[in-house]
Amino acid sequence: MTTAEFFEHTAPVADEIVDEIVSDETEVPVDEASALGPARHIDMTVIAQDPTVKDEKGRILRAKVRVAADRFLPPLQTHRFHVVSFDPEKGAPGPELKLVDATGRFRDRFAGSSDRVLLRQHDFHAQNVLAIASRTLSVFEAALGRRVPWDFESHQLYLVPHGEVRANAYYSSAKRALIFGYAENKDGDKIYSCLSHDVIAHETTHALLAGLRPGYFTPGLPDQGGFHEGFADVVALLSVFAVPALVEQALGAIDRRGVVTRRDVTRAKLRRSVLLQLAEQFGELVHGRRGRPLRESLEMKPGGWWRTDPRFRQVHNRGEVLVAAVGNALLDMWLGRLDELLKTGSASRRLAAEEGAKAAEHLLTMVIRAIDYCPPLEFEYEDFLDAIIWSDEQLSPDDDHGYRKSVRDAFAVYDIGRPPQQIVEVSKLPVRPNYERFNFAAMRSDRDEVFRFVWENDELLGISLQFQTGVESIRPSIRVGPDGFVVQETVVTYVQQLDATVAELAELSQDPDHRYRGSSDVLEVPAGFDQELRLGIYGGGAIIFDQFGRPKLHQHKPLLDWKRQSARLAFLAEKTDPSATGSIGTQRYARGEPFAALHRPDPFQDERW
Amino acid sequence: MVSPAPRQLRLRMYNVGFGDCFLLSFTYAKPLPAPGGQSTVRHVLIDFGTTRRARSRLAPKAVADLVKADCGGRLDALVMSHRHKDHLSGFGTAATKKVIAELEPGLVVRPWTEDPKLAADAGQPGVTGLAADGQRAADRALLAALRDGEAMADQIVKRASAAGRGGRTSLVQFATDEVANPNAIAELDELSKGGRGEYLSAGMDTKLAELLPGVDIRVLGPPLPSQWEPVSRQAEDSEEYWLTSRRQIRRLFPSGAGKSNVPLGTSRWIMDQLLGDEQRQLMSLVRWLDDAMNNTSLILTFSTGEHTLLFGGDAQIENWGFALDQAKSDAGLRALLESVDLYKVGHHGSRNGTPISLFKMWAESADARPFVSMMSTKEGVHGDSEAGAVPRSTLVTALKDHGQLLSTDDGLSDWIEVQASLPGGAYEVKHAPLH
Repeated sequence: MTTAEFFEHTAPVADEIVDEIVSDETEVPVDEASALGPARHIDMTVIAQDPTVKDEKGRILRAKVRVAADRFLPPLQTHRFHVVSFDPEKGAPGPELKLVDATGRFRDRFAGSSDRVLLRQHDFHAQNVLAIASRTLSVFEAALGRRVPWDFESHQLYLVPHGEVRANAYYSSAKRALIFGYAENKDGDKIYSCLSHDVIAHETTHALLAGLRPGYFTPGLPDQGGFHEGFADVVALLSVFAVPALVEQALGAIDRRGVVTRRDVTRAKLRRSVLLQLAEQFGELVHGRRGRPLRESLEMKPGGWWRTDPRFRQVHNRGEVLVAAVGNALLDMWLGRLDELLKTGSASRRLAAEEGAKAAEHLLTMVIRAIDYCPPLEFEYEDFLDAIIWSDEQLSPDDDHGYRKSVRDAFAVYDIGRPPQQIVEVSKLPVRPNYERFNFAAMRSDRDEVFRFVWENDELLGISLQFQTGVESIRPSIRVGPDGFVVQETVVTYVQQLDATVAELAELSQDPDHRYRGSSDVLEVPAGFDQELRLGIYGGGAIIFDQFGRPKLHQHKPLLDWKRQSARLAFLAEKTDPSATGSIGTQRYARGEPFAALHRPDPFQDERW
Repeated sequence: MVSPAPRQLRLRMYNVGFGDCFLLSFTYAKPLPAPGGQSTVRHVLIDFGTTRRARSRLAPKAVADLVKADCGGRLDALVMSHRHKDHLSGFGTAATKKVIAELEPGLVVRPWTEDPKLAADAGQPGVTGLAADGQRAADRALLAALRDGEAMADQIVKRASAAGRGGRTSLVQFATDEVANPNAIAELDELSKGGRGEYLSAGMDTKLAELLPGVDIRVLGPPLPSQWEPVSRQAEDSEEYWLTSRRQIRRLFPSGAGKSNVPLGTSRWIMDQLLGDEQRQLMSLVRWLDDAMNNTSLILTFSTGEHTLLFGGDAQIENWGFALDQAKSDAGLRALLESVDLYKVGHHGSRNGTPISLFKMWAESADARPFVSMMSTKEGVHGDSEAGAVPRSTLVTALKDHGQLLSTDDGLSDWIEVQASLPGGAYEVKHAPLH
């Protein structure tokens, strides 16, 4: 079942407010088994993009989201989400949600509701958020082949559709919640961020990425800071693009007869008419406050200029590079699919839209799956590209549709290439793995057992056990390729850390025995930087084990890569007060409300002392 | 007739502690005709306020007496850069306002947001200084937001006081600084009567030019929101937001704290978190108000002979940005900014009050003229982090590297003075004798 198939365009059939739970004997309650077995999914009505996007009849464009079945508890809880009704104006609990009855039945009461109901009913807002957040989680779990944890101890993520009276939406690790705000626009209309598909997908992605890669909160290279926002935008863009109805509607700008031809599907036309139009609709409420519309990210001019542009040293702007690259890849993949479709010269707009949705869905799976092959910290965009290619090769050895080429070419436009030897095939290394004193069964779940592997194989992995080393996570996964090829892996991440004064680290780098694999690089300290300041440096990697417990691939960011450490130090130095004392580079961003702040960019940051 | 040029300028910075009080004086060869007094010296008082006394404990009344003595009992003009307490409290306390009133300033210059007519005529056309009708909505919105914000700051302080929590939370401390000073404002309104009041925004002419012949005065800020959106960018102009904020204030510091009206269960914890967030949201509002008020500051240049003086009150980058943006295409403006050689350090030396790009104009100028900065500040009053400390160490270092930095916080002098003979005499520094 594809993501696109989960989204079906529906039109309201009646213009009436439906307040009562109507019993429908044709529906199978979620928790009842039928002759075919328990229901696996529930369909929920959602707003396809946001209330400003209308269908041909001028009504808000709806869609149906297929959500994985779960046991529902009132007022609206699943085992992963807990929707909270809050009234920020009164500072009290909001209206009671009536979507789940006492027997655990969930009823979608809004399939035939009017626009007015969708905009005003608190229950629908709750349903909209839950459906899209659940869908996003499901997409991640399907791509990664396992359950995805949050970055806090609890199992449920709170969803607060009316969290505050403010044009904002954010993920809060401290509150274990997605907070959605609302505000009045200049015309006096209430704008709810909980009704924007892209905003919900964006914020849910922050929560998921925080769970998958908590190390990305550690001060690192500029790409790492930008990745959270960029990746969340990418997931939002691709999630929305996977709604055929939206793409079809955007294609209507090209041809209103319901047909597209070869002449219509140039790269430039698709970009202008569809991709940018969809991006234009994106969360004005949230993304507009980034100070730069998502649409402009997609129009970023090619080249590697962004690496030295001061504006792109800020995390929001850095993330735009990722959006631009992935947007280009999407267009390329879609054009490739349309090439096949338009062999006869023309095709229906609907079919063309479905091809776009499929391309988006496939690319979304690729980029999510790549997270497992990314380093646990010290992230750079080159790592992400490398991870996309490697992870896709494991599942689809033959790149029949040329998707990997599309991705490589798209990233190359922005001067992002695959780093040599960042991910290596362990079987091709001259050193053989040592499996002595090793318990394969325990290795799939026991951090200490995995650490034993690291302990016995430091030479293989190219790490020095002289420095603090720890296994961060163990994640088994089962993935199925497009041809039914099953790949079972265990993904392990480990982290190395060293705290010392800058002077000590510079001296250490002078010793050839403390440089990664014979490199001649040393730690370059920025002129005038206080060398008595303590600096935390990091290294780490991901080890991909096959179903037999053998290490298959190793993604490595060496601790003693002094060229990379020099670049990181230079970046941290830009943000460090010259009169600072203590330690830098180790303080993880406050886990309080970093994303609340991220959604309020400072366009004048470079003017402040 | 050739306009007479002054032959000497003098800028005296009074040690008010954390605040501003400057007396700018121009001496002419002969008594000048009206408007203004008949003496050879014209005096302009720029701000008079403080929130923390100087380390010398110099009292505001003593400062007022010094000003009176130094201006010979008569002020030609009074400039209030913006209405924060540390710039206008001296106009409002009983002891000091009497002294200032006796100086009978002939002109009272304030930002456009202080125009009493605006409050009364909101929505009426033709108010002095505002743009055409179609653009005034943004200007009115900012004005309304500022007044609403002040009222809320006042409510926060009162609520805290009623709950016995005065001053104990950072929210209350911050809000205290934002409460309007009605006595000072009323006093200035009184002094402005009879046509003596002037309310300026960027680009306007000023009657100061008539009072100071031979001195070219430019008004570089504040820009109106209709001229420059960044000065109101963060204004939360949703009516619902303000209404919710008022309700949040009423819920502040509840008695019987700890008793929740949320039933026990998995929702209780998140509800407590959301409610606890309200103080953070109110703090955000108060911080916005502080920034917005700072950005109503007048930015003025005084150019005479070979010298250019720059006063920016507490203008922050959003305000400065208008002039800096214009300077990209206006060679004359750029040349004016580059020619500054006496700088009243903005916002007491905070990281926000002196745009780096402005400083770079001076630091990178080919014309290596002597540069003097005068900073009225007191360390340890504001800023709870290295980056937020006032004054900001990186700025202080840069100003010292670029020229001479004179700070009221460096010693116990009651005043520090810079004077220069005109047209191009070097600046000479003088400190008040220690007691």
